[in-house]
Amino acid sequence: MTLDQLKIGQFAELDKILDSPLTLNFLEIGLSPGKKIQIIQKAPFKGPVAVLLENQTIAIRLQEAKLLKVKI
Amino acid sequence: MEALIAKQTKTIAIIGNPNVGKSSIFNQLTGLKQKVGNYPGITVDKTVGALKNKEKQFHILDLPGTYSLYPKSEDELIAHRVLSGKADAKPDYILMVLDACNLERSFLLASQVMDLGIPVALVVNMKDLAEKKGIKVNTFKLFRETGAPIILTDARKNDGMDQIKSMIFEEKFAAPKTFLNLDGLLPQDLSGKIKSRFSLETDYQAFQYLVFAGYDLTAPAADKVWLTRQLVEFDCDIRSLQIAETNARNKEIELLLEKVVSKDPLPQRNLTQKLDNFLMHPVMGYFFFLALMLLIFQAIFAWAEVPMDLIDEGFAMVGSWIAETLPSGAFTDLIAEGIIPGIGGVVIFIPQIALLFGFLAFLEDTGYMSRVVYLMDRVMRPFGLHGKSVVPLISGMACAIPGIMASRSISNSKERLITILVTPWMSCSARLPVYIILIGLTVPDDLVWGMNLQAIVLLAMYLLSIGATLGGAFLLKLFLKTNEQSYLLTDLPVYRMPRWKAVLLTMFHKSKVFVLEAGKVILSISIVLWILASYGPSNLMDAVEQEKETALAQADEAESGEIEEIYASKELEASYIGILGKSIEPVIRPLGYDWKIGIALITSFAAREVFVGTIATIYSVGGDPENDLTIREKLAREVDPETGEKVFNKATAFSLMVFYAFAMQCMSTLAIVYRETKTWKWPVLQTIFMTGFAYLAAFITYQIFSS
Repeated sequence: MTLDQLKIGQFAELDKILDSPLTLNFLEIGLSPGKKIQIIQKAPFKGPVAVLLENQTIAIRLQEAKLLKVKI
Repeated sequence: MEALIAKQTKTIAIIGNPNVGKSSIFNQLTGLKQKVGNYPGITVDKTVGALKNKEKQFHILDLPGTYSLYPKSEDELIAHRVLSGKADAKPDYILMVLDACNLERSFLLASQVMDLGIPVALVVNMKDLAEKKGIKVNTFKLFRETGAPIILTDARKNDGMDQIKSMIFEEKFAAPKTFLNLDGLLPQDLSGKIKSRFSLETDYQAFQYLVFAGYDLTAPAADKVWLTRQLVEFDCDIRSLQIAETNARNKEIELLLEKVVSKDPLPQRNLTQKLDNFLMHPVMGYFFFLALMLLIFQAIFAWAEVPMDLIDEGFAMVGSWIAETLPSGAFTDLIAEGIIPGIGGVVIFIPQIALLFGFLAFLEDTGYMSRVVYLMDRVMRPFGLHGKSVVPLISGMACAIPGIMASRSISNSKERLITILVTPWMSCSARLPVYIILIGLTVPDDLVWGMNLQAIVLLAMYLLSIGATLGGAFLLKLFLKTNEQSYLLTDLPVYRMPRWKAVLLTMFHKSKVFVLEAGKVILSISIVLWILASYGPSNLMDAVEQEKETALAQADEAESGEIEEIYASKELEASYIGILGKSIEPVIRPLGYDWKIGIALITSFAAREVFVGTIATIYSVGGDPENDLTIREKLAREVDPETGEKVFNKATAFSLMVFYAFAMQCMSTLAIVYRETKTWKWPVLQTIFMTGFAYLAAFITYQIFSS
């Protein structure tokens, strides 16, 4: 499953980054495979989600979250 | 001699991830007052400062933050250009700032920087936060592993700055060990070929040349062709090389940090997360944001009024005092009627400008601004804008110039261009005095449903500007094309107590810049205006003068005052500025303006805030200088000599406000738009479209309210 399908508060591990022009951006900001990840907020009307990643919080859109495969 | 000194001065570049405290450190090293905050992307341009003691002097460069050496947006490009020596000469040393709470991410950039071969020192900042989180860094081990000197700091509290200074003066920067061996990534033969062609030292420099062959516009074409051919020959793909490099670095970093960092188990749910549960809540978060905006609005309009009234009255008093004290003559008139009201027209803004910039600095320094990006992204997208466009737009309510600069952190070029083009429609503080004077003249100070009617009209002007900004963005979205993907990927920093001193400094600094910059323009325009209003073609002026003499000779004592006033107005009409105003009157008549307002429109094309000063000057010339009326009172008494009606009636005032809301009347904004878009096409189109739209909208407004 991908990150956008996670429920708020559900823990998961970042498994794989699906190929896209944003791969490098994900890796650089710290979204690298193997990390524990959790969604802490979802903005209304399919707006961005806020994810907690170890000790940093990052905001991404659903469209980006769909590129991140996670396993529970 | 000068060349010799320049040679001895070494350059140190400060580099690091966004929002790790680079500018705070820069300010403390150089004593400068570069804007700081708790928002990724505060610094969008490089800033130079100096650090010196008795023997040595260093240039310090503050660079916009970046996550890697591979730039994704306009502000990140600056760091790349400086470090690769494409802007100027390469820096002699690098001060690499790392975030103690997120060493892993910081080290990706640090490891790339270390492989460039420039001597470096590592500053691990925010040690206070790391300590709170139970993160301990073994600096000695880190030094042994990397070979780079390490300093732990807390730049917010000035902790560790002396160590940085003495490290710089002793030039203890060191060329670190190679962090990542590129053997597995970059074929050795290829690396060798590139190194010899461009006479480079390290494999990573060669790698960089290869990566940037594609999108560095300044590289000679022959080099680019050569590099591209090498890529084909060795069957390399730049993007997969970069991803492989980043993955390899992250692995190395993980191994390194295991050795040097110890972590206590994380305390769950700290303060930032508790706050975010509320501030980023899908319902409450938006209510809070709205309430905050209303509070700012309230502060600017209600709280600022007290000091503004005092300033207004103060200047009226000084003007009349000068008129009474100095010997009467042309010079006294210039001061009392031209310069004092002109300067007063600028100084009166200080309370509002200071408050607006103070609030913005506060929002940025606490870390809330990034949450606004998160909250507003979905709202902005249908208009062709990005969540990050909110920051330029809100800044635009203070002044379009910092707003347009802030758009650099938007990576998508279409969203960035739209943001730049529509930001001038946000109601900036220079429009405020125009609105306030006109509303004060024409809208009664009554209560409607418990709200002040004047405040409601002002709020309507702001809503009009926000509506126009979004509408304009929507239209631009339909016309502009791009195939770049838009994305949001932004850090939400930890909430911190604002540094009140920094907030106050921003308020003071912004007010000072505003008064000095606007003051210069207004002072010179006031003087020119006054001269043009006092003198005219001699044949016209003499005729009026003669007529006046005859009229005075025939009149008795009681009538002479009235005659003086009538002829003062006729003399103004015969002056150079009167002729100019009269010549454009046919064009602006349909909007409800007379030739005197026309003069103010002409001068306002330099800057909107000139309006008040111009009006003050024009209506003062020929008036009774010993009469200490405020500008507002003078305007209220102004009547049309032909119809006998008030010049500033509701229709004219509303039409004027609408004109000022939409017209492009700011030279500085045009200059900034040119600088940011690198072509005259956009500022020219912007001027034509905005002013044309303003004319139409003002015309419609006048027709509605005058019938």
